Amino acid sequence: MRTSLILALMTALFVAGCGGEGPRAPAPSPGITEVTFWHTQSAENAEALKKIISDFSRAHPDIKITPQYTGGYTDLFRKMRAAISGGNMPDLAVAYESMVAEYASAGVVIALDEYISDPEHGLPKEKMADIFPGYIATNTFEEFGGKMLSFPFTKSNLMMYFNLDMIRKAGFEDRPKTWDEFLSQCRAIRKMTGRPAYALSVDPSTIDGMIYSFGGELYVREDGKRRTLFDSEASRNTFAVIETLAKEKLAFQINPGTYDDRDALSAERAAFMIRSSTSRPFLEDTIKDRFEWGLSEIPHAEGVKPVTVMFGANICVFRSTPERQLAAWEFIKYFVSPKVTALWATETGYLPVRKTALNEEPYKSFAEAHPRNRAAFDVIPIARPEPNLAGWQEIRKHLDRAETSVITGLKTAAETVVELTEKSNKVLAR
Amino acid sequence: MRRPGVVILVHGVLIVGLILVAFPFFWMVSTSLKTKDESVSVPPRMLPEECRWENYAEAWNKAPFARYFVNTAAVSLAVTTAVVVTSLLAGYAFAMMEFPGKKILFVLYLSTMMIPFEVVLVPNFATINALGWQNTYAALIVPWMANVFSVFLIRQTLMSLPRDFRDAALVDGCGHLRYLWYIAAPLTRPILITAGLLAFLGSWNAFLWPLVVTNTEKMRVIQFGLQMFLREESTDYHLLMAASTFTILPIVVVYVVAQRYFIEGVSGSGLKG
Repeated sequence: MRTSLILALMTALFVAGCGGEGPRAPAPSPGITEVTFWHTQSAENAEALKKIISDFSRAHPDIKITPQYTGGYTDLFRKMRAAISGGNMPDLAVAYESMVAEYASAGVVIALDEYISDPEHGLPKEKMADIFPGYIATNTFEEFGGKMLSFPFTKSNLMMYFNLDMIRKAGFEDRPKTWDEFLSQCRAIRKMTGRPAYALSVDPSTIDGMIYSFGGELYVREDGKRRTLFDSEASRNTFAVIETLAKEKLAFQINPGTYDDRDALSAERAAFMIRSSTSRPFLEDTIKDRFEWGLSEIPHAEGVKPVTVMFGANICVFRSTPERQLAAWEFIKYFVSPKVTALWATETGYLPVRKTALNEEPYKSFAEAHPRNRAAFDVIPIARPEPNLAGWQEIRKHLDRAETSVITGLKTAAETVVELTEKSNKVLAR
Repeated sequence: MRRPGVVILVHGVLIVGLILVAFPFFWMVSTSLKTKDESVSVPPRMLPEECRWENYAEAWNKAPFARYFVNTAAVSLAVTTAVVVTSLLAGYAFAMMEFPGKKILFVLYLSTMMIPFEVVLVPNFATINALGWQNTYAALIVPWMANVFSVFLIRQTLMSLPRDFRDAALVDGCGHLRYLWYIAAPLTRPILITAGLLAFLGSWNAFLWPLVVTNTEKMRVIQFGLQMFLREESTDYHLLMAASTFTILPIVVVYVVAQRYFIEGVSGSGLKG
């Protein structure tokens, strides 16, 4: 009896080990170029992507795009690193700027400039001009000859979300436009409710955005050397705001890694949060029409132009055969066409990459339906990318610690700024 | 007759332990029956207003779970069987047989436990690729067929068996394999089952390796299904918990079954006075 059980298991092992799904992909039909595309979209977004791909196939019967879901961005990056050394690279993949830079260092990603300027397959100047300049800039890599190594794919912005009813009850007409207004509204709301007004999520990107909004820059290049500007006045002002929020108990820090700020805003336990524009659909779902709320760019310093941080991933093409590279480019071109980017943005809550998407259905009706729907679109022109320098990932960790120590009252803003500058400059000096 | 105070204390501690262990499971099942709004409500609700069993159907249809189950079950069973067989053979060799370089080999073998998986990921992947095994069961199974920790575990147990058993068997004309099969294996059954259980769990929960060596939906495993509910900015917790519930069900079954053997193995080990 025991022997037969073991035998059965052994047989199962043999069958499972030797059988298996056809190991190799079926031979491509003649004349069809196969393109594999690694992405991170799941659930409804994946359905929207599939639909766009099948529409593309109808328009390009000679190209077959195979989308492959490869987990989150970290998972995708691990899989890609294995593929760079071990083979079996995809033709297309979504990637953040820092990932694209790594692929470029490994020599596996191709520059898109030639494809863009190609008279037959390219994107003419007027079409390129329709893509938001910030999106072009963030995909142009200074460190790699100023080439465009990727294209915008899933874009969003850093936004301030606010409960307008609460702001009005506290005696103000509108959302805060400057940091001074922000602080005085927080004080009034605290007085009214007895609770902190701002659900603060510690986030390096928010700090970057605040420094921009105080008219500052994050780093400078001098004599070929790079150095951070965390000791600038803009950075000191940024940390001073955080310090005030902590000292006067105007903000409370949410648990890291959670979306407790969204819950707080939705439950009217906070009047403000600062997050990516991709949080909007979630809040629409939970707040519904219980109170009036909105989103806008983050506040700015008096006399400084409004600004916010640009988020989101891009798409890049990997070195293969001329046919496959061209087919991959054709898909990118299709994806950023006004109609498709309008559809993608409406279905997913990401931002369209073209200015004229606002004239295309279904985005047109969507944007007209409510001011909230187009708030993030309207701030694209003032959205700035964060540095895509080697080492910036590590600097983000220092920024995270710096903000945490100020918001928890462990250190003063002045001390933190000194320490942060020192640590970050060490990273860039390497 | 024990004092009632002690009984109450012991039961109290046990009840607290039970709650600590059982609460996550309760929470998972309870959330899996809530509406989306209930699943994220503040303050959290212990129980749903009404049980939404349809969440299970919805979660099941969000991804090709039937396929994922078949794949994961095939891979986990194969890996488990292989690990038990190879660990028993290798453990026996290291415990009972004499050959040159045995100690060094064993130490070298053990030292591979110190190498993090991330380090061997790329070379292993390159090997699988060179063999043309991308998107095959072989890629999911073969690299996991031997396990250092299990070998170590079984070696230690085999060494604790009285040597007289083996000497007597050998005198009676029993070979190594026969001794292993009829005497050593039944006596070490609890450890074999423990090794098997660990292999099964590891295999059932694997994500990174399957992610790297498979691309097609047809070859993907159960942990991929769970990923489908995790989105950048919002997670459908009620559906994720429904999917988690049916994903861990086989593990619970295996555990319950294995536990029975476990106790039987311990009580009938044949080691008497």
